[in-house]
Amino acid sequence: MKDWLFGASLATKAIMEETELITLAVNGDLDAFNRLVLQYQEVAYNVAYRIMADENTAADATQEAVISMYRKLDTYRGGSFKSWFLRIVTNACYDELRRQRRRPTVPIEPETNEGEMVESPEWLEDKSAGPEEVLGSSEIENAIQHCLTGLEQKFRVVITLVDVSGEDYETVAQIIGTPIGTVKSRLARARLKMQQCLQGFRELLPEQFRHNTEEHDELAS
Amino acid sequence: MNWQAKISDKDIMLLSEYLDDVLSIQDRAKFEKRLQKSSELKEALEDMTVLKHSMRSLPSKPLPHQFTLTRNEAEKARRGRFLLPTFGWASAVCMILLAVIFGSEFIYSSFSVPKTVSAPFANTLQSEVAPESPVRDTESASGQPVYLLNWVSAGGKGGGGSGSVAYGVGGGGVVVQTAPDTAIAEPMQSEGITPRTEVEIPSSDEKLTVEPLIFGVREDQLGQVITIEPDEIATPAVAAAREAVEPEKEPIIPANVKFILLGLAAAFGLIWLLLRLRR
Repeated sequence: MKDWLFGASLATKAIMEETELITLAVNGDLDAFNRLVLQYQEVAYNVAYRIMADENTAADATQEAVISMYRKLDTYRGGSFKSWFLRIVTNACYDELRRQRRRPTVPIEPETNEGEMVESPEWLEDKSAGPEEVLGSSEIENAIQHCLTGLEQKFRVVITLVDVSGEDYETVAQIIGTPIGTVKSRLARARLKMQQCLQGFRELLPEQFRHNTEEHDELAS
Repeated sequence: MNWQAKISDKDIMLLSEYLDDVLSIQDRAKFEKRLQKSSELKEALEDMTVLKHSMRSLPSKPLPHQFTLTRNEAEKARRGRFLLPTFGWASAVCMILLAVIFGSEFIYSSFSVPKTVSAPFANTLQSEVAPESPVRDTESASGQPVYLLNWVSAGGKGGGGSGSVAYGVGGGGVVVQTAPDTAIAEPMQSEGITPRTEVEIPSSDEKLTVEPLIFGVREDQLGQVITIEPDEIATPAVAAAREAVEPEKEPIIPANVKFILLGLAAAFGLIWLLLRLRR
């Protein structure tokens, strides 16, 4: 009981401190703003990284989000500051993805004298795409990230926020600006797609996964 | 993972919600009952639980650098804070102004009276100057002179009540003598009506200060029967009438202003778009 009370008082103190920081930041206190950034930058960067699947672009998106947040501070209308910040971060990620789509990166490939691209297996190899490659890295994280990157943007954002970042449905609905029902259905579909994708990496998966898939193989044969 | 083909989308959603503990107490109880009976559902739940835990236990990526803002960055961000919305609003305001101008001009041109003399109106004017009469119809057509009554400029139009002045214009208490109207005068006398033959011309002192708009009055021949050649009927009178009609009005907003507004709207919009794309 004593511990619970101590925990509750700490949480209340943290909320009060955050509210105070927000008020100061809105009034132009840069130090207060930076303290808020320090509080949430790790969550923000990790969400951006899982959505973008690239460290540099995730860092860019996070920095853009921080600048954007500073500009929009006067539009903050209460509620969870974290979800407001994450909303700005996901929007920055969407913008970055849109920019990438507008200006797709062109692979530097050798050309023949006639101007045709050399189609050698070395150039055609996709070093990050194949399950074998990911298996070679012996990291389950890479397998999950690979499957996550393969998801549609709307599913990727929801599963990242719920399963990776640990946000609840209501917060996610606020962040992405959709009803809770949409969050639920997108999450269910995202999880199903992740399950399907991870079958290619079953050797990496925990015991439970392997057991089921082996059973499935037996049944199939 | 052979459950995927056997479980409906609705059950997958229920599973997902059950896993996140967001089902209501009743739904949860119902679903748990179904879980006990269905091996596929159980299997799916186990797989989803593993996936969720695997994702939750992904290591946090170390930050490449601190994302806090320096004084300079904050200053720069603050400066750019108003730029984008300012250009956006400026462009929108110009577009709205243009829409209002074009809209009001359209309404004005649709519902106001025509500015130029239309053909029927010109005919009406002509008929006022040279009213329909047998004389006009027959003689003017054949090139004969037409006799017109020249009225004093004393306000009002309208024919006289009697037959002798039926084709005259004007009222105003002035009696005029028509041209050879003995044919008309005789029946009047037989009816006991004495046609007036004297002409009373008001002195210059009695002249009204307000000049009525009667086309074709000749001040030097007031009260007299004048003869107008056929050419004179149509052209000068109608031309005078047309001149008398107010000239074509200028548009409310000059074209230059419209072009400037259009240019500003386009320029502000373009700057807004560029700023937005640069972000």
